Amino acid sequence: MLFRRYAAGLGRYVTRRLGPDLAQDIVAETFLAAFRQRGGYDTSRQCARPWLYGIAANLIRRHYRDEERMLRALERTGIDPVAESAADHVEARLAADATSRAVAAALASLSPGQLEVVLLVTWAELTYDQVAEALGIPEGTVRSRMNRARLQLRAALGGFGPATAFDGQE
Amino acid sequence: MDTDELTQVARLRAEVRSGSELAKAQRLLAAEIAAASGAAARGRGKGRGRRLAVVGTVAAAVAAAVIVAGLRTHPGPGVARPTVRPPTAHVPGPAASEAELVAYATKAAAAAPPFRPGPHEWVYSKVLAATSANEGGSLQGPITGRRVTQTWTRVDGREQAVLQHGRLYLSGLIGSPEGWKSVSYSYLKSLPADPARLRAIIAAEAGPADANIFNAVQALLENAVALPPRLNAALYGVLASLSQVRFEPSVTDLAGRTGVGLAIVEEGYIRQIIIINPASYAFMGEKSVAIRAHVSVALDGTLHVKKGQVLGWWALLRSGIVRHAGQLP
Repeated sequence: MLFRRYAAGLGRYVTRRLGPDLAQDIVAETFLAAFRQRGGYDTSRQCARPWLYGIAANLIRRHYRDEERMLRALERTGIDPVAESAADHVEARLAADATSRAVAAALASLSPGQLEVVLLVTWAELTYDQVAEALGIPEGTVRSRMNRARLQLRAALGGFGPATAFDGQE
Repeated sequence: MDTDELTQVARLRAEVRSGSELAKAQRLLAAEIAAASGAAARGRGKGRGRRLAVVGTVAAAVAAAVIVAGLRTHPGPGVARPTVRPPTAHVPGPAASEAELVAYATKAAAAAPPFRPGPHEWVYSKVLAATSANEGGSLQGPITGRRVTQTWTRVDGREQAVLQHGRLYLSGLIGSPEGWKSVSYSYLKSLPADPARLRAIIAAEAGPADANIFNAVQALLENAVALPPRLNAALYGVLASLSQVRFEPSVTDLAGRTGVGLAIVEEGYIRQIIIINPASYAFMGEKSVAIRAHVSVALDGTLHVKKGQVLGWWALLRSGIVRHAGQLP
C-alpha cells in the first residue's frame, strides 16, 4: 500500500518545507488525490514516489508565500517557525546558527520553480529524472534550473571556492 | 567542494521528523477507502471527478443528494418520519412532460414551509447502491450486490462524516462539486430561482455545453447538500431547458420505486438518468445505462461495455436535517 511505504518520508519532507500544520493537510490531500487517481495511474511503474511527490508539489506550490515568509523569518530572527512548531525537543528551539540563517535567506531568494527542484533533490532525495517525472518537465529543464539555483545559492552563501564540475552548461 | 551549497541546504531542518502530520491523512484515507467501495457502485469513474473535490471526501463517495424540501413526502422504505412537514397545498401530478415536471416542482417549492437549516446542522442521507465485482468508479459487470451507505454533511459544507462498520469517520471538506462555487446553504439560497439566469451562472462556472450543465446539476443533487426548495425546482428547470435532455415518464430506482426521469446521453453511449419522485418532486437517485456497446481503453485496462449494461444505479432511501453527525432524523 502506497501509504505505508511512502507516508513517513513524504510527511517529513512536507513538514520540513511548511511545518506540521500545513503538512498534515497537504499529506492528507496528496494521498487522497493519489487514491482517487489510482485508476488512471499505471501501477506497473516501478516506483510511485515521483508521482506522489508531484501531487504534493502542486499542493505545496499554493503555499509558496508562506514558505518564503518562514524562511525569511528564520533568516531575520534565527528562530525557525518550522522547526519551532515541529519540535518535540528543547534543542530545536535554540536559535539557529549563522549558516542556517544564510541558507534560509538563499533559499528564499530562489524562484518557486528553482526552490522546488533544489528541495526535491536535497530533501526528498529524488534523482533528476524522478524530479522531471514528478514535476512533468523535461530532465534538461531540471538540470538547468538546478545549475542556476546552485550558482545563486553559492553566491548567496558567500562562495566556497570556485564553481567547478557543474552538471551542464548554463 | 562543489557540493557544499547543496550539502548546506540538505542540513537545514534536518532535525525535523515526521509524526503527527500523518494521523489526519491516515484517518481520511481510511474513510475514503471505506466510502469509495460504496461510491463505486453509484457512478462511473468519470463521475468521481465531478463530485466534491474534498479532503476525506466521503462526499466524493457518498453521492447522495438531499433535497431537503423534497424530503417532505419522501416515499420508500425506511422513511420513518419526514424532517420537513409536507406542504398542505395540493401538488398536482404526476408530471407527463418535462414542462409539467418543472411547473409542478416549482409549485411544490412555493408551497413548501419555510426552511432554514443552521450552518452547523447536518444533512443525513442513506443511500442504497448497486455493486459489482471489480468496482472502479462504475459497475464493471453484472450487479452482484447492494450496499447501504449513511453520511452526514454539514450544512455549511465544511465537514462530512460517514458511518462504516459501526464507526463514524469525520473529515473536513475543502471543495465543492464541479460547477459550483460553494455548497453552503447561504450561497445556494442566493442563487436565482429563474432557470435561465441560473443556467447562465452554471454555464459560466461549468461550461456552456448541455453535458457540462447536466453534470453540474447532477453533482449538486447527488452530493448530500441542503438545497433551498426554490433552487431545487429551478435546477429541474435548467435541466428541462437543455435541448439534449429527454423526459422519461417511468424509471425504477434501485429500491424498486417508480419515478420520472430527466436523461441525457453522454459520450455517445451512456444514458444518465436523474430520477425524481413523481409526487413530491424530490430527487430519488440516479441510473446510468449503456445504450450501445462500447470499448474504453485506459491505463489500467480495457473495459468492454455491453448494450443495456447498467453502469450505475442508486437510490436515496432517507434523508433529513439533524443536529449532530451520527444522529438519525
